[in-house]
Amino acid sequence: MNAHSGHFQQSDGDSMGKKVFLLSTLSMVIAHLAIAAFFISPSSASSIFDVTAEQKAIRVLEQHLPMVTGRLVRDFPNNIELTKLAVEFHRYRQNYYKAVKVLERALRLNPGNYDLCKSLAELASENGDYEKAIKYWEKALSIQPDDWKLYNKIADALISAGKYAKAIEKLEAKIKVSPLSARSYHLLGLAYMQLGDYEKSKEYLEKVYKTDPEYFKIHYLLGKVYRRLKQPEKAKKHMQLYRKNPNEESKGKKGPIRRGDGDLVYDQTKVEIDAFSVILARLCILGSEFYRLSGNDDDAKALFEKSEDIFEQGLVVAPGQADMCRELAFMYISTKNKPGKAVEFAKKAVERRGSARNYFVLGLAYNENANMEQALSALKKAVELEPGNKRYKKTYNKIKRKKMK
Amino acid sequence: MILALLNKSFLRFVVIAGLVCISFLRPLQAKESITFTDVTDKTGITFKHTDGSSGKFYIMETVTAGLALFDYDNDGDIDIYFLNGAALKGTKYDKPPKNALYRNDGNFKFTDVTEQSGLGDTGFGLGVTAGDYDNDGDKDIYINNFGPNVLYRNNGDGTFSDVTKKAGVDNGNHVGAGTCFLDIDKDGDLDLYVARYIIFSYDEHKVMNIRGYLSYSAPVDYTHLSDSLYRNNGDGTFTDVSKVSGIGGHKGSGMGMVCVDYDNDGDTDIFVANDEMENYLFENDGTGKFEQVGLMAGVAYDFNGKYYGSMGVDCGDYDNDGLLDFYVTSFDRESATLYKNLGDGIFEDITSSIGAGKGTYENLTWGTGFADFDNDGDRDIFVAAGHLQPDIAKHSDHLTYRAINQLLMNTGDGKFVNITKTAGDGMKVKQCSRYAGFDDLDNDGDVDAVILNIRSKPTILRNDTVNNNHWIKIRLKGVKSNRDGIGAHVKVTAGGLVQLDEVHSGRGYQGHHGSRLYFGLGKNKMIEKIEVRWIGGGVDVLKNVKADQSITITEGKKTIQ
Repeated sequence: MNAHSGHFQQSDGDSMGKKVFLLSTLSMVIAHLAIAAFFISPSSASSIFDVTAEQKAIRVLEQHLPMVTGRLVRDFPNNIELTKLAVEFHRYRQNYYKAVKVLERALRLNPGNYDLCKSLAELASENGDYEKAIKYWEKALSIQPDDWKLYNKIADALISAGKYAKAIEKLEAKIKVSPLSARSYHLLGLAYMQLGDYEKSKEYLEKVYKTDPEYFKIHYLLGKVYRRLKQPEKAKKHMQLYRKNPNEESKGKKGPIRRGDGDLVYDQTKVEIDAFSVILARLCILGSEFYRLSGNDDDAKALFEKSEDIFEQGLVVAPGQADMCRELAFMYISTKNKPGKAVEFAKKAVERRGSARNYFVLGLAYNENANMEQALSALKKAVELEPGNKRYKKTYNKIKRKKMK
Repeated sequence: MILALLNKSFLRFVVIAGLVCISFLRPLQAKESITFTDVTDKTGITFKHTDGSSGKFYIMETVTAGLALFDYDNDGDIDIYFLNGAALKGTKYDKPPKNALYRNDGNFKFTDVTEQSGLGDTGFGLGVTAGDYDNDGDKDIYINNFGPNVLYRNNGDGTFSDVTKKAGVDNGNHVGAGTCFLDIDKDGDLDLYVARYIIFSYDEHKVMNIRGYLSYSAPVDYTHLSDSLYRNNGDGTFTDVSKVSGIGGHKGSGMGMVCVDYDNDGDTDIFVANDEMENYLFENDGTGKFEQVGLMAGVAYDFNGKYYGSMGVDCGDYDNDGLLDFYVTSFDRESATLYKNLGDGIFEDITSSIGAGKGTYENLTWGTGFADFDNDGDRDIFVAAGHLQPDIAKHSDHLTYRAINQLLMNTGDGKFVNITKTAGDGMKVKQCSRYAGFDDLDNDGDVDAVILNIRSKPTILRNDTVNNNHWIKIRLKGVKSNRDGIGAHVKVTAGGLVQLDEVHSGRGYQGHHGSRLYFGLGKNKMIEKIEVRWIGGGVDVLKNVKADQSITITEGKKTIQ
């Protein structure tokens, strides 16, 4: 832990600490006033143009999460899990530069970390920075040379960067160490097409088709290559197949779409309030643990109190919001704090939304309070709602066994 | 020792070495010298665009508008016609916004002549084109609105008359987009293509919520209809031939468009950039019947089969291989796309391998154009940028509503370099741009730019590139074919280099520019040959034409004016 620790504490002995405390108190007061002013704004009849309670709660979380993530990443620069949570938050907010900054800083401190390299490459690729993506995929490959999938990732980025010959080189290098997959054949066919070698392209694209007839994306390229090889009938056949297939490559860019609900065709609120609540709870759970392990119980406590305060602020504007209630309950359970409150908030979550996740957390909360009967009842409900979830089943069986003993 | 160093042979060496260095540097300097200066505030142009918004996030607010660069009074310089939005439901203006026509008085001075011209349409303007539909020697205007469209006939005396009703081209009450005049059947008069974006009604208005901020919805949230094609009857009226021509069978979310003989078969085909769906390429069979071949031609999607939110499109022969290529702008996190024409009716998206998308992935891009800004004999690319969500910066650290336009310089070897940062203060302007049009506004031999910015004043960029390169500006006058020579191919051969261009009416992002063709000639002071292939099939050839002049070539005549 470095010298920045202790920032979650609101009292400090030295004068600098007092200044920091005064400043932070002042900024908190201003923030609260701003939020209050925001909520006091006149509201008319409810419409899609009114800011909803959940959206207000998101803004509360958005406002405070950067401070929590920033301090934890600064206090535990070598911690990959905390870094990943910070990056996840920035990604949700489309803060590409901030996410890259956090990851690059972490990578400087953990130069051999495979996960960080991969995350950086993925982020760069998503944002069209293919040169950077190639750099970090290559670095990841140098750390884990037996991760064959990385060859495809690198080749894909090389093609997107217009470096077709290098992509072929990379995939041919893969042949020496691992058999090619349909994806590799696809990329080879694509690279050869861009280079104008249509016979070679066809050869690889046909291999994809033979290996995996369900690989619908290949029809577009097969259509193209046959058109270039002056075989229009075959070209048409493949193009028609491409059009008929659900074009997942092209669709679904927008994420969850809520239709038939007023005029709001796309609402990210539900996804975000869930994601931000999860991130805050995980930051608190992990951060508190790391503070404790490094002997800073006060910081652990301050982090817990700060996180609890953020959730409470969110729940003031969106009372009973299921995701916040569930994650606050989960935070109480995982940090071994306020088990009674864990049940209270988990119950609220279930009342608002009877989802498997919410029942699962309620089960955990009852278990934390040694109420195995109720715990089993809630967990059973979670399992019923999501029978394929192994974690729910395992937890249910574990508590059942415990009770039988 | 010092004296020894200064002896004659050493000085000779220094001089020779210096010259060698300069000779190596010269081409590089020429390549790096495109410079645009923002002269907007000195032009006298006071137009300010409005999108009619009232905080309800109506989708058409985001897609207005185009402009037209054309010579309305036939005085030899290019005038500017700006489209404007209008009050949408819930918005009120004391003075209704209207379109504006500015007369070019020379030397980058313009006068507002909207009132006297009669071109002050108060409809919600989206797309516009200019063309002489009645072959009377002056350019008429067609406006594609949200609401009824308008055809203005140029009376030849600086005024225009609304002849929409008589012509039968109001196109109903739709959300328009790009529009073009073209001669679909080579009968010597201009027909009309009208793109339509979405079906909209205030009752079915849709919005999105992104990170707690209400935002505009996307075209996929609405239903679409096919575009319209009108055949010119030659008597001032048009007939809707959408169905019989084959255009009516393809519903789409048309935005920018360009009409072009991409397959060099002597008739005009149509490229429509569709937003969030495949692009359309309508191939003309020579009689005005069209087949949609975008997918087979390779321009429907990107190289890997992914559709984009296409916005604007221009065509130009960027690599001087005698085939017209396409450049299509698109949504953020989608690179603008260069489709290289491989001949035989096929194209390849080669954007990333030639650097043609640099600086566009991180921007939402709209207006675009191929133009030789440094007169070096190859066409550069200008891209207008700006987001559509005003709040975008609140939930992103890499996107902004106002953005810097992008300039991609052709390096002459089939590649592009993004030179935005070094291309003068004109390329530092941060606005939310839509249409970008290009012509030589001060008739000084280089191509300037006019950009329509949403919710703001336009940007007028003077080309201040300094080099000694030569040029030729060509205006066509059809006799058998349409008066503007729209659809004609012009090949200019100078110093062994053959350049191809085509006359268009309507292009880029829902606007019009380029009635005059413009060729950079590099160091060549003399043009060996100019060949015009008119849309009716006639060919005129002129030989040994001097550079650095504006000429008019009349169909069937072997002389220039």
